[in-house]
Amino acid sequence: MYLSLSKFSFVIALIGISFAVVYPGNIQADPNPPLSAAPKDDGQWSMPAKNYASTRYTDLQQINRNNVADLDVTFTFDTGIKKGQEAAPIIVNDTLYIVTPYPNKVFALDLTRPGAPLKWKYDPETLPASQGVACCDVVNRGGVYWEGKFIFNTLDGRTIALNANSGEEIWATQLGDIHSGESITMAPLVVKDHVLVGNSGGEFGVRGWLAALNVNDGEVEWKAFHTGPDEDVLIGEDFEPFYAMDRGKDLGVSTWPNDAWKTGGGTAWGWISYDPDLDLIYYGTANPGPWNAEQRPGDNKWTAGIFARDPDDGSAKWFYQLTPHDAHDYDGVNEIILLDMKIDGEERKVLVRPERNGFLYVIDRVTGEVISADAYSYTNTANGVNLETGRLRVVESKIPTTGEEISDICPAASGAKDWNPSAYSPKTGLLYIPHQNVCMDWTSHETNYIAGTPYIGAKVIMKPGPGGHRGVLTAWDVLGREAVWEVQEEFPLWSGSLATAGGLIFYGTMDGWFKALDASTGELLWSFKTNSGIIGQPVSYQSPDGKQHIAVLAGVGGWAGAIVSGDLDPRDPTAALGYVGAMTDLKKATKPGGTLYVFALP
Amino acid sequence: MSLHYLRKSLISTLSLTVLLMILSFSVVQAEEGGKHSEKHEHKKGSEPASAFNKGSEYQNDPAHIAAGKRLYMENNCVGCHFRGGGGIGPPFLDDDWHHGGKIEQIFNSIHNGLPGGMPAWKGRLQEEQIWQLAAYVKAFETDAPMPDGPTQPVERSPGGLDAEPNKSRKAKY
Repeated sequence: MYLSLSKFSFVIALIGISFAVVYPGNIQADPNPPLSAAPKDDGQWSMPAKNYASTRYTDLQQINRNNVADLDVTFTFDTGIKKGQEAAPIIVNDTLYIVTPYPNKVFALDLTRPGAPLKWKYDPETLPASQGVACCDVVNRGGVYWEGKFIFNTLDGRTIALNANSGEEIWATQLGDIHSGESITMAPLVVKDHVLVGNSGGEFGVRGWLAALNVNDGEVEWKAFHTGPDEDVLIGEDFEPFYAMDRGKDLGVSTWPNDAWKTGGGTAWGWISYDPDLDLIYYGTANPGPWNAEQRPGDNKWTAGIFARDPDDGSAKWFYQLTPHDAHDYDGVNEIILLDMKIDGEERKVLVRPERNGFLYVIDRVTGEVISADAYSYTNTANGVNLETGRLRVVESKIPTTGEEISDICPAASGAKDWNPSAYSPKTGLLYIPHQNVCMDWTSHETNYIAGTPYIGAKVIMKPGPGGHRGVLTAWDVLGREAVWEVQEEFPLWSGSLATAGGLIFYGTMDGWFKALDASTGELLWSFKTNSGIIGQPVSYQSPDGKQHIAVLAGVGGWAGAIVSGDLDPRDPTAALGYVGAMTDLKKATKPGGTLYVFALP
Repeated sequence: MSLHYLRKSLISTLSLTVLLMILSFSVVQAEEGGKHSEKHEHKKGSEPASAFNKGSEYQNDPAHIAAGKRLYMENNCVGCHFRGGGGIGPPFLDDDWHHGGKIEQIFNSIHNGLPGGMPAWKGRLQEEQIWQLAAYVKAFETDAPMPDGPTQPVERSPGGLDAEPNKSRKAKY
């Protein structure tokens, strides 16, 4: 009661100051991830996000601003798979693990020997037909190491645990069904003894879910759907969303016409974070289906929002819908960075989300209250968030209607930012957001649901956004709520970023440059041209001889790079869900690849 | 379901007759452009025995191509192959056919499906409809204008951070 009263008065105070919110609070410390979610660095990299707080920040500082110019290749490894390489290399016990795109081969490299020779490899014999239900290249975002196991997902819907030393299969669990359009591309996260896995297939009218598997035997412990009755969504008595719009019985049914929730999407193909103190996991749900929003009037719960759940039984604690009734394919699955920071004199546990709709949300991760939502990229589809109701202020003129072309919708369907994760440096207090500046023209048309085929109903043509550059790295001051500097790139930024205690930011470009910037100023300090465009996640580790290394996979593809990895035809700007329209020149700039690059000082 | 499609096909045949003039112009182009791709067409795939010579009834026939286009949209082919440029599935605009570019081979690919993810449409669509789809798919290649090199990016969108909404910066916490 006391809590909700204070929430109420806080909200009233905000209304008084209208849309431009002012916090009179005094600033005492930079935001920091909770220690329990971001423990002291051990020089390894056991999960793609580095830690449960998802900071993608390393304490290693051997490579720094003064010597990064000398950074050079230590070794490379050719995966032999020339599709989009989105995976993060995983490094534990002097072994480096990588998962390739389809057919999802796993390679383990021995870091104790010169040149890091192959220790073992594993071929899951992924079904070739799974390629037909992968919306946006046949990518995989990596595996995770947990107590002697290497765990990853396959495009044909399996989760597999291998013996990390030998590569032998310990268990494999079939979760998704490709015949209904399901696939799995996300990297699992292990929390306590639960392997958390979500499906892909929002472009095929699947029903989204997140499942937990027992890490020891792969048995499914719980499965929470993202559409349908509360019982299926694991919504019970202790579900307490902050905003009225997310409260009510069986909203996963009533916010859809007829049975549309059964083919409504809301998959979970992105990132999960975990707060061990609150014992809650946080993750987002993807776009509703079909893309043609006129076929599904209503808020379309529980798509395009963030869930907080108990990892043990999956029960939902709160939900916040970022983009109700999404009309532009703005999935809500991006990374979630857990930080503790002082707001209005009060220490708040928050999560930070650079969202596809163009706003950077700071949300109280205890309650689900939106503290702020600021545009970090150009958007004309919404005018911010009503902090009283939590509702996105949608620009109606940019909502597509059947048969009419709505032009210059910004951001494009891939969002101001897609899946590729940001990094947060507690040293600078800045969030390094790799993102896009791409807009689109959109014409909706009616589409039929046919199991296992795309369920879209939109003709989309993407184009470079204002200014003409298609990629941006934005350094965002989380406390100051503004961009401190940004670097513009010719092509969309589709790689993750890495922040280091050496004061550096690493990321790659779609034409193959791997770059190191000064984390404070954005100044380019070093760059290296790889053999293909980079859309992977750079990581850092310490090798047995005590040297800091930086590792990244090169290999263009993904949605933005499908024109190259899928050899698509630039004469059709609607190809690859419209992304080809913005990428007709990529074939001139790079070629397909699949090579691991590892760098160190001489 | 087949009744539904049949009805739609009939409607489309009636309503799209207006397009025939335009399409027949494309067919002339198709016949001219067909020559240079001949050697590619024979390199891969095999013809279904039952379909021998049947393709000529459909290929370049404007009414069948128009019916095929409608089927292509209704059955979500467009969601993988788009308007010939490809995506999940390969493009059709060029003459590089992975499983054979003769209309009989295209029929086969649609009818039986392909191991890399192409669903089999036999049993879901009538053979007549699959021939019409094949005719439409074939028309992408033969209709396509062939520019010298890749086209340039579409012109950028107007607007900007200082041009429209969300320009106001908020105060610090």
